[in-house]
Amino acid sequence: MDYIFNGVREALKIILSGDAEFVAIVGVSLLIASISTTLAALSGIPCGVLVAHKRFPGRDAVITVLNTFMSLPTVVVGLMVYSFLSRRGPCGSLGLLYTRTAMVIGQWILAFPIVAGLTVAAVSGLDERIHPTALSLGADPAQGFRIFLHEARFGILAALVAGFGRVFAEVGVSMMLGGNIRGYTRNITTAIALETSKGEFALAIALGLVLLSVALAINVLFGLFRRKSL
Amino acid sequence: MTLYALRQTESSAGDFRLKIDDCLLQAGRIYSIVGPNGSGKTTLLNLLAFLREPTGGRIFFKGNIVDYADRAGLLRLRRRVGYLMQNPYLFNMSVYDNIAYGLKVRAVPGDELRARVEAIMARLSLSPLAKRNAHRISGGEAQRVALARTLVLNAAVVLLDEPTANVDRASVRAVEEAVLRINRETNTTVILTTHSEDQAFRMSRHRLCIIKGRVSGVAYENVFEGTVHEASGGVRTVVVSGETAFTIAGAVPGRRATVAIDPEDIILSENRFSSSALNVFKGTISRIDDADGTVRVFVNVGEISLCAVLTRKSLAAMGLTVGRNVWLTFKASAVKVL
Repeated sequence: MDYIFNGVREALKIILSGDAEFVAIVGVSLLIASISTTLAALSGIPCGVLVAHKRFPGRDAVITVLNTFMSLPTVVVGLMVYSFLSRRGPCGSLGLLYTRTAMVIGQWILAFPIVAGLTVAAVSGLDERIHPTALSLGADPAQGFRIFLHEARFGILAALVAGFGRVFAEVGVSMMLGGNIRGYTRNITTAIALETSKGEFALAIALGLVLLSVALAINVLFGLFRRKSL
Repeated sequence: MTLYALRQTESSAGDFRLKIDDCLLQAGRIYSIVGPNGSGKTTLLNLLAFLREPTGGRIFFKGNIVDYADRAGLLRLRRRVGYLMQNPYLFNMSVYDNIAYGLKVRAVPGDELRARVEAIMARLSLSPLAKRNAHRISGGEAQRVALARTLVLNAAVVLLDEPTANVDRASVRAVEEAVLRINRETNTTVILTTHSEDQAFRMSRHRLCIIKGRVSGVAYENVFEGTVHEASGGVRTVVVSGETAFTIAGAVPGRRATVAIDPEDIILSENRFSSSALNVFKGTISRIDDADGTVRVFVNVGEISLCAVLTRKSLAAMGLTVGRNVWLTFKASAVKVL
């Protein structure tokens, strides 16, 4: 048991001293997860509003697919994107494998169905009179769209928080597409896996604590937004 | 000036069909549209607000045909109309922001926007609520906010879909006064739908009646809906509310029917008299309106209100006042099945 206590003590030292490697790893996680969540927001929110608002053939199927893909295994996404980006794959010439871009692509695929699916739920739950009301007050189509975002703002924020939480904590995509390159693609989850396998518990525990606090913050925010959206 | 001209205009949705052969609405007037539930009042307002494209015929606005393919033109038209929908939705934002919404989408400059919003809030006694979230105010207050949001636009025409349904009496008064005032002061055309004939008479001299999707310039009065029953001896009645049933001449038993009684056909008397008329009711006078030389007397019978027309002379002779009990008598043939 001692090595666990020692690990925790060392971990706290690492966190408090602002160890350069520790900071770099946390920075990579935050950066990649933020970019992929932003991309998922830019694509998933309009998509979610459209699916929720428009009636078209196959709409139910789209919603089912989005809901299914919310729990997509990260290694499957890693495998899919890997097969496209690897040298023999159709996009191999781009040389994207083991880059931050590859990680962003993989994480975007993970976050998109969560953001879009939860946006569908948030917008579907809105009052049916919102859009006619906006039109009756002179809104153009873009303004009519924005009022949906406004009315569903807490639900959509909850969707973004959930998407960010998903990609921040995933390991499959980062490992398979980023390659865990020190100082470049090594993020919190891949570093924990590596350090643990090396028996270096201190850094792993320190990173684990960061992951836990982010997860806690995300859950608090998610709960707050959910409550406000109801 | 003619504001709206509807020519052979049709609007269908599912089984329902609204058909208006020819209807002109003049600028500067207040029109009330009366008719039972599901008769097409809201559909008509949606057409007039350019929110719904007619499935047949044409609509002219200020002499110009409305082109539904021209999206930008349609938006400009929509922005000339203020529309208070039935059971309106207030956005999840402050009362102030709700009222300012229509001005913001029209890109009205900040100073002017503030001045207009504050003026209308003061007029409708909403200023103390400015910062409150619109989802946390009472029903009557919400209706006033929705009205303020419509009136602040200074639109050429204001459409009001049952503006006083489900609000308390004080709010009804505030809403009616604000509407009358905006018409008087800015000559804004007002078109409102209502269930209440009382309100139609209070608010406007121009009334349209709409029954089962047909608009008629003749404003039917005393319009009720009920189920037709057949009693012994082949006498048919239509039960319009709880205990009140009219004896009628036609209609199929078991069906719902809409009936109207011309106020001219109702005889008012202080005492019950013997006659061949089958419809005799006792009621209490709730209001007396004296306009255009004829007097309209509104009488509460059970849960309903019937209107009868008298001359000024007979009113004076009978000495009728509000609160008096009177008898109403009319023949079965006076109850028109629409």
